[in-house]
Amino acid sequence: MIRGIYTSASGMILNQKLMDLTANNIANVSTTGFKRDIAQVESFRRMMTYRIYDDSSNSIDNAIGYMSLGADVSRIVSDFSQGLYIKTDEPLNLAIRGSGFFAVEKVDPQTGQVQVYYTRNGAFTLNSNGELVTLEGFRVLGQNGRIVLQNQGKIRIDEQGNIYQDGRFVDRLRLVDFQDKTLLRKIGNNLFEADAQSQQIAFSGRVLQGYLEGSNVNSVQEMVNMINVLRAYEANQKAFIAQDETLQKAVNEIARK
Amino acid sequence: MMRALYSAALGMKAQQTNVDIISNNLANVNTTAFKKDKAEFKDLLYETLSRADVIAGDGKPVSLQIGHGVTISAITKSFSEGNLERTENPLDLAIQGEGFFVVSTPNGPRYTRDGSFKVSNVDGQIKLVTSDGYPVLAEGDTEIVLPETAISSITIDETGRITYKDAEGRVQDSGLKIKIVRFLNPQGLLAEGKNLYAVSAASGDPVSEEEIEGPKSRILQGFLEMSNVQVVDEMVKLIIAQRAYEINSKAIQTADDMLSMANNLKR
Repeated sequence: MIRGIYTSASGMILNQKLMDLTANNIANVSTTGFKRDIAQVESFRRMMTYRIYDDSSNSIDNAIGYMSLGADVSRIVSDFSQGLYIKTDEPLNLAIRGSGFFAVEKVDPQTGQVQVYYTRNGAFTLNSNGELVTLEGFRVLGQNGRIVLQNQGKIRIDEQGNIYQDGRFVDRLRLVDFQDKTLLRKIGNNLFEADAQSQQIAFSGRVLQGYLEGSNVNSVQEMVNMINVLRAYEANQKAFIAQDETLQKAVNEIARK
Repeated sequence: MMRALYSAALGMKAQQTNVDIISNNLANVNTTAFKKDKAEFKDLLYETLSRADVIAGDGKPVSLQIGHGVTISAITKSFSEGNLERTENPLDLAIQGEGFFVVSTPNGPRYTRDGSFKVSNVDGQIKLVTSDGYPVLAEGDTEIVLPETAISSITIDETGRITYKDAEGRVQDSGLKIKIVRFLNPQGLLAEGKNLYAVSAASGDPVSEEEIEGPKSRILQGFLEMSNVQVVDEMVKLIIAQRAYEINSKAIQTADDMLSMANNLKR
């Protein structure tokens, strides 16, 4: 009986986490290149339950069976399905069709250490040195490191990520893909961090110039998720209250006489 | 108390800023040479509930992370060219290309693509000025001073050279050329209102097109560059922003309902 209260509470806590996740997806419905998160839920490990204080028993028969006392979020993975493409006609707006990421580097202002991150947000611009950067100022990487463009001249980027300015080849974008994308970790700023174990594979997608990839959050789906979560939370709350009422009876009524 | 409440609230806040930007674009749909703005969103920090860890048979291969909502990371200006409108006014100039006019303001030089110039009598001299009265600069950073008779017959060619007819009807070269500058990163310019931009560290210093080789901007006399705001685009963005705002508010309601249920556990 009291065990059940904890089970219901774990269900409520679980659904609260799911709600946090859904709210983050919903908040990022307009974030360029955002990939929605999905939670996988697993029940607690099953445990064997025994009768206790059972005089008739002799060790073997007093097992009741297995049960699991609650559930929790076991893993949160990003759904890397494609977002829809938004035409912007800006020469420095790039979208990736298919799997893959742009590589960008972030320099730690204190230590000067360089860390490479990956993003699907191709809203790029130039900084005052003519380097191709993200809107956060992180440098976009090419095959030869930083990509420096001239003050003038039409910039053309083909589907393979080759950058041309006035017909002159500048560099090729460093486009990467991963064997197991579930090992990528989101760090905010639309960036992903790769694990040391994640194996890079050849890029197979295509680059679209003048487009941005929108968020792949589907508001209808998230709305349905939200309703599910709310009702599951409510059901757990009702179960909690029912058990509390039973407990109340046991405490206040059975011992009355 | 509940991350969902804050994430959804940040979502509403970001969409509100987005609507602010869209309405400013719509308000400036008739502003000469106005360049539209666009909000760019980014996700915020992720809280790691449990780290990825590999223990044979009992590891978590994926870390458990929940995000904290969204914010506007940048408001980018699109410097795509607006449509040209023929005005037949000889003092209306439009720039085809990436250049900017330079005007002299009390706070220093400012840059604009709004070429609806006028002549004004400043200290007894006839000068070419903007609608706000700021003198337009020529190459060599000099103000453009013209003889009184020149105004009715002024001709400005594609490169910005100013010629006019004198009292006898002869074509005279004023020796002045309208200065056109260009920026490495025009998106880094600071919009100051009144169609004026100021330099910032991100935009880079202005480079006079005189010093640049290759194709230059063209000046078109008798034309004005209109705003590059597309009403249809903005309306679509407005509808999306409104619905995104709405779904975020639903998330807040849901989170609140859940909190209320949690509070009702204890009766």
